[in-house]
Amino acid sequence: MGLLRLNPSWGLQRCFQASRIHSTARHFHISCTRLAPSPTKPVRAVARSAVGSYGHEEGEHVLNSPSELARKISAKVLPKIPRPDVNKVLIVGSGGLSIGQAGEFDYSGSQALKALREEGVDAVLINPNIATWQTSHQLASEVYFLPITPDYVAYVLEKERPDGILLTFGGQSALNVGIALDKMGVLDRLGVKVLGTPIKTLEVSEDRDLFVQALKEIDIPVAQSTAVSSVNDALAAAEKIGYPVILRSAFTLGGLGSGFANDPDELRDLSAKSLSLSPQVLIERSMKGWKELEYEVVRDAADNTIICCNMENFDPLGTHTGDSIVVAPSQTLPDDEYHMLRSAALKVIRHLGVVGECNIQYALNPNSREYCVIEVNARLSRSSALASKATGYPLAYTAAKIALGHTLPELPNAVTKTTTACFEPSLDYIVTKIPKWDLAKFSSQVNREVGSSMKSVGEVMAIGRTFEESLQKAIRQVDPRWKGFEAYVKPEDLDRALSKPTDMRLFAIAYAMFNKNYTVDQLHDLTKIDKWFLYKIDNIVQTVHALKAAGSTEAIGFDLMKRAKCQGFSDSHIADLVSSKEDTVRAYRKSLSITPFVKRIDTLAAEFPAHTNYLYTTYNASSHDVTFDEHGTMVLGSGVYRIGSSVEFDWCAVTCARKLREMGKRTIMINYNPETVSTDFDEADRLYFEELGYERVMDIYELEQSQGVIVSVGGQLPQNIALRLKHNGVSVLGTDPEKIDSAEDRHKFSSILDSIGVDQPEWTEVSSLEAAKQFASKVGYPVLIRPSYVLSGAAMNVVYEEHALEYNLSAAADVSPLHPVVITKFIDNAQEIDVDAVAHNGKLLLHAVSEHVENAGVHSGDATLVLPPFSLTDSDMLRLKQIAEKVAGAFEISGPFNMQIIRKPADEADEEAQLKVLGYNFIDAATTAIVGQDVPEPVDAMAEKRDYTAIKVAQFSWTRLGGADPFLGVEMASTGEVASFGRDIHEAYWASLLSTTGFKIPRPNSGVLIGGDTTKPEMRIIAKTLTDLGFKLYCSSPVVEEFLKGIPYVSAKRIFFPTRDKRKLREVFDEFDIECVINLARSRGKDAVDEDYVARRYVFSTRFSGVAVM
Amino acid sequence: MTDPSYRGQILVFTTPLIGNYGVPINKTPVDSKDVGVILESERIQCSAVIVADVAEKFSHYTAVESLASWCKRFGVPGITGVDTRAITTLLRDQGTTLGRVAIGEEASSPPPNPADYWDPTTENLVAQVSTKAPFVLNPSGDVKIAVLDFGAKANILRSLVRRGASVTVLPWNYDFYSVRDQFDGLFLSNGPGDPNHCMEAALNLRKTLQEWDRPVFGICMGHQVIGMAAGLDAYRMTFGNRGHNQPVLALASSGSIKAGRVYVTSQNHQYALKLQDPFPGGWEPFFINCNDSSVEGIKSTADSGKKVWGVQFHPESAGGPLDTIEMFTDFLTECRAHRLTVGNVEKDVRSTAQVIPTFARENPKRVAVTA
Repeated sequence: MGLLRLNPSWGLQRCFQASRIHSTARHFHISCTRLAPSPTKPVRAVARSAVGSYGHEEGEHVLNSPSELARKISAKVLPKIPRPDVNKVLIVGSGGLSIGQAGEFDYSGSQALKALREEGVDAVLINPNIATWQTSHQLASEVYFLPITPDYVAYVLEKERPDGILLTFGGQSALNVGIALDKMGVLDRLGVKVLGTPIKTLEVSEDRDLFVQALKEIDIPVAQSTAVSSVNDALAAAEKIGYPVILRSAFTLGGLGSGFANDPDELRDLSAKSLSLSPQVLIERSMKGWKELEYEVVRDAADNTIICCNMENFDPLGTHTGDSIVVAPSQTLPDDEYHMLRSAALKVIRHLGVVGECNIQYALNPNSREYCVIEVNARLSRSSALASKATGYPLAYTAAKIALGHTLPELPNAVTKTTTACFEPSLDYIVTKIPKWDLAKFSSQVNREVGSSMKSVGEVMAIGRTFEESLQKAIRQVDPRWKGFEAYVKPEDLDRALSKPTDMRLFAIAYAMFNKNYTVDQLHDLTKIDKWFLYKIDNIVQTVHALKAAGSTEAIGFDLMKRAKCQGFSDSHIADLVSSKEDTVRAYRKSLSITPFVKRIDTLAAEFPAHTNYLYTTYNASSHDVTFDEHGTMVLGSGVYRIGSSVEFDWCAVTCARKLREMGKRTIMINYNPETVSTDFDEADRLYFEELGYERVMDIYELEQSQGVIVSVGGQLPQNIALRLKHNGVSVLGTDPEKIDSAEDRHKFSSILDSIGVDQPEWTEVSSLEAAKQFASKVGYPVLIRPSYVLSGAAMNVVYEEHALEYNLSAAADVSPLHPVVITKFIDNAQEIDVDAVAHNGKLLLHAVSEHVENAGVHSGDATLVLPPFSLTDSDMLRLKQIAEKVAGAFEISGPFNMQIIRKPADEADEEAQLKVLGYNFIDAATTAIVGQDVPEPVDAMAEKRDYTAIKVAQFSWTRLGGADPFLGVEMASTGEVASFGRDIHEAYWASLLSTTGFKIPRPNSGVLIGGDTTKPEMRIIAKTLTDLGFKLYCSSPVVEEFLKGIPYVSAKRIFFPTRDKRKLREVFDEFDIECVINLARSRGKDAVDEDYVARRYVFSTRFSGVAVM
Repeated sequence: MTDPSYRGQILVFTTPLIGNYGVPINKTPVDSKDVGVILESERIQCSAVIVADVAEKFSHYTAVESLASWCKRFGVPGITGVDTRAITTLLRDQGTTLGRVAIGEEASSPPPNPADYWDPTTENLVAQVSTKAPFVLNPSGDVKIAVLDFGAKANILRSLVRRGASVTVLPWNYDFYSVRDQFDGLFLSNGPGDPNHCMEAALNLRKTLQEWDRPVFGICMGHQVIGMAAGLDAYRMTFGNRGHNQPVLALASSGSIKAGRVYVTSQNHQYALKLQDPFPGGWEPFFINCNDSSVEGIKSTADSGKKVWGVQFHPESAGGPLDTIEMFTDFLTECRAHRLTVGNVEKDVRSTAQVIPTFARENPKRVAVTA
């Protein structure tokens, strides 16, 4: 065996969880609190509740007010809304994280669970997403890791027999399942009440025709649309409406399959594609260039209706809200326009009969008061998570309480605790949201334009007291390599880059302003972005010029420094502009007494006294809102969700903060991701919604005089600044950052492994292409190339021949010029094993071993993982434990770590994490180890034999990533994951696979298209098995045909395969009834007409999902 | 800023970004839709503005000038780059405070003697902002409403005019009693300062209410005047209610208002009526503030034979939510219903001259602070 890599945190800490397995039922759900306490720790109370307690008696209807008199009077007049009589409620989760449906539903589901628990209602959760906080056993009394499909949800309903069901906390998936269950009559038959917004309302908001009709009834203008179900009807409808038109598909996530068409040709292509995803599409008038606004509305059963927050898109209509830069509150609407839309929102939501939370989107003509409603989402959404974090108003929690029959006046304001929740927050700051796309992670074929179908995988939110400040903060949050508003791209066709939005348009604007002297008017003409935003950006540009003109740190006067900091410039950005160093600028700035101030988010702009712990920093202030006498322990969160770092780290951060609290320590959480549970202000004693860069962490550490910083529960991002923090005198808790550094540095890592006798594949570090070629020919291809600092496998590649090495090294070298490239011998057909463990002072406390189904070479984030391992012998397990012990000792680890080990058919070599499956909460143990308090005795969690298997499979979002090659390699490509349990690997795998969004089973006897690399040993088995099962095999290349015909009892037909004409391609698939594609590729497609690429890609551009295996 | 209720005050904005959409041309026709201005009066009423981050450049299709240039035209000083949240916290704790705006060296020099500050509460600000002579808007309206002007916002008059009323605006201390029968209803407007300066109007109203049973509606100062006429006391609150997000609970149903419902309202008041138990005969509380239980509205009881409502908040908004805007419709519906029942067909005998509306044109004097 040998070690490849070590992460002194859980690099990809994919936590299976199962605290306890039901012995009587089928083995795929966990339960804890109701039957018995979890075996590992006592059931703990939920963290401090988000809002005040309910002092009054059961069933009483009283205004939540600090005034005794008001309470007394209100008891006489408040309507007596009967509260549903429910004891057990099923919450439907959202499944695996995918584009359009991500971590925000972990936050909303978790808040709903908290609300249910407060009411003493038994909560049952169905969600196969193991990485989420909501599936932790603290919250629900029963958790089913099962697919979000009508069948499985019906199964759980049958088994659990709840009185009620909540459908609006699990995104579109939960909503669709709810509507389906209602149609199937399951809810009626089992007597399950739909709590909150009624099914009828959900249907109206989802069915465009009904929706338009409903809005017409109350004279609210709505985007005029015609529903069509064929391409010809679409063309006819567009003729009537007039081009350009927008095409919208119903019943899909995040506007999937929607788009704009400027002429009949574009519409023909688009509608063909969309009609394959949805039986019905809508053709609407395009209002490109209009302002896009969104209002978050809360309504209770007594018809009290309020607006919690409104938001304005920086990008005009045409870019999906999820892919737009968004500010809250709106900035360019005068009072009358704001209230015109507010009043319309109240009217619409009352008419539709929403009970709970929803959002309404508008288009507003920038040159008149003309507006129209774009859509209503009658459920919690990504925007509601953003609104919740932007205002401090716990929307999901409130919506759950309303579903349980409470009215807004009775509920307390989450922040003041004493006043009522029936009010509208006022903001004395501005928040800016920027999406994180991560499109660069995919092959160059991926289409980087953003439009009406969402492509982002996460988002950041930044708080400031000027737009400039919040914008620049947000830019740094999206990617730590970006220092602020600078020209990070140099588009060749600048005008096109400005007028066609892409993931990099903001920087195209920077390039236009800095390098091409575009004026605000020119930019407005091209982008249609409101001039107000552009003027503010111009302020930043002017300050950049002023700083450059100053030339040196000392030449920056007080006024300029103050101005720059008020506009959100970072010290390192300023340092770059005056050719200095960040530390120099920081010291100089402090000598001028320019330091940030801490302000509270209190929902009411300081108009009432409110003692919240929800904080941000700003330079636009002259006093602090808080005193610094708690000296808490800082927990650094994971930042933005991106490929390779997602909701699992939120689980780690929340668990860690809770454990610290339980141990009696004050906690300070820092994170800036609005989709997380860790940014709920009741999860820590203080929450800084702030950047996680060195500058801000240092500022907060100094202000708070913190006891120490935990960097190992937030993934790679906090890890990156650990060493620097330590060198500047910060007490970094847990594994010594120097040791972390030696695990990241290949040379140090390698020599440590040598010294403890752990094998590793041959490797070298090169700074020239020649050296790389020499090494590769010495050890033989394939080789793995990667930079020394890794974030989810960026720029990593396996190359099989010299010309690929040449090509990839020029791409990889671009990524990180400061770090040379490491080349490793790649062991083909080897098995990969993950070991996740916790150690204290170098002594192993806990470890878990999970086995990859795919061979080494598929990133462990994308791989299918099995726990406990199914093919490892006891001696293998012992060897793995020994390696873990040696590694823990050598790196003096205190806290969590993860290794990935490669096992060749007979032997093994390498390393990177796992945990909820074993019923041991690894992060609890890790937290104790990090702070060195109450450290538990070592346990061998793997020694116990288990009668169940857990399997994790990755969730991909290929459908949304137009052009991306669905190929798995050492670069991670999945956006989420799901896990299911079963008695054996087959049952567990089947449940997991069904849990992934978009997976469809091919019908018996349908066609299967086979292609790819025939040298793969699996090809033979697959072809034979499929034939035996009655599927018809097809292929497109003569090589594959030859190969398949060589297998006994297998027959295959070669078919004509058009690679350019998508419509013809579709006809071919239809003709042969092909519902599944199996393509065993060795590398990514070379170009857009590569047959294998086209076959893989077709699967995700059309109506069925197939299996695209490496 | 143009609301006469802010007369003499220094305004501190809690919203940090101000001036984004500039200032429109503040001029409209005077007809059945408009009352001559777009904003709340013809000029800036407050004495100074304090903002965190002013937009030097604006963007809106109706805007013609920036906030700064507009302030300059009216000689009203403004200051930006200020920690308005810190000031808000101070004002929240000690209520409306006398203050000054100082920059540069002046800012670091010692503050003036407390006696040197001008205290606007000592003056009858209503008398300064009220119209000096009666005038009529939308004379062809089907229902005749008299407005007692304590410093009426233009949007109150607009809200009445757009609902088809013919509106006669009278000075705050006009002897309405003597002309009462020419009108189908009486409206009492908002206004600045201490309601006790308006005792004269309250006494006039008491006399009118004893003999006149047509609908009466009052907002803000008008509400306080109705309350004083009913025999309630007005007092200065420790924390005034201000802002666009004040929740009020309806205690009685009337027209579009449903008992037990919470409405979000726009408010700006430092004075309020005392919630006393029992209420004076013939009166009942209409709304209370959800947060501090202060009286937000009163009405005549159903058995009093009168139709009188007063609300402390601003149903006409501008700015603020429109949750209670239909109260204007309710008021005019009552006026029209009353007109039908009494067969009010007498000829228009109004003797008031048709004059151009004047909205509090005079320059304000020195300074006091409010949030």
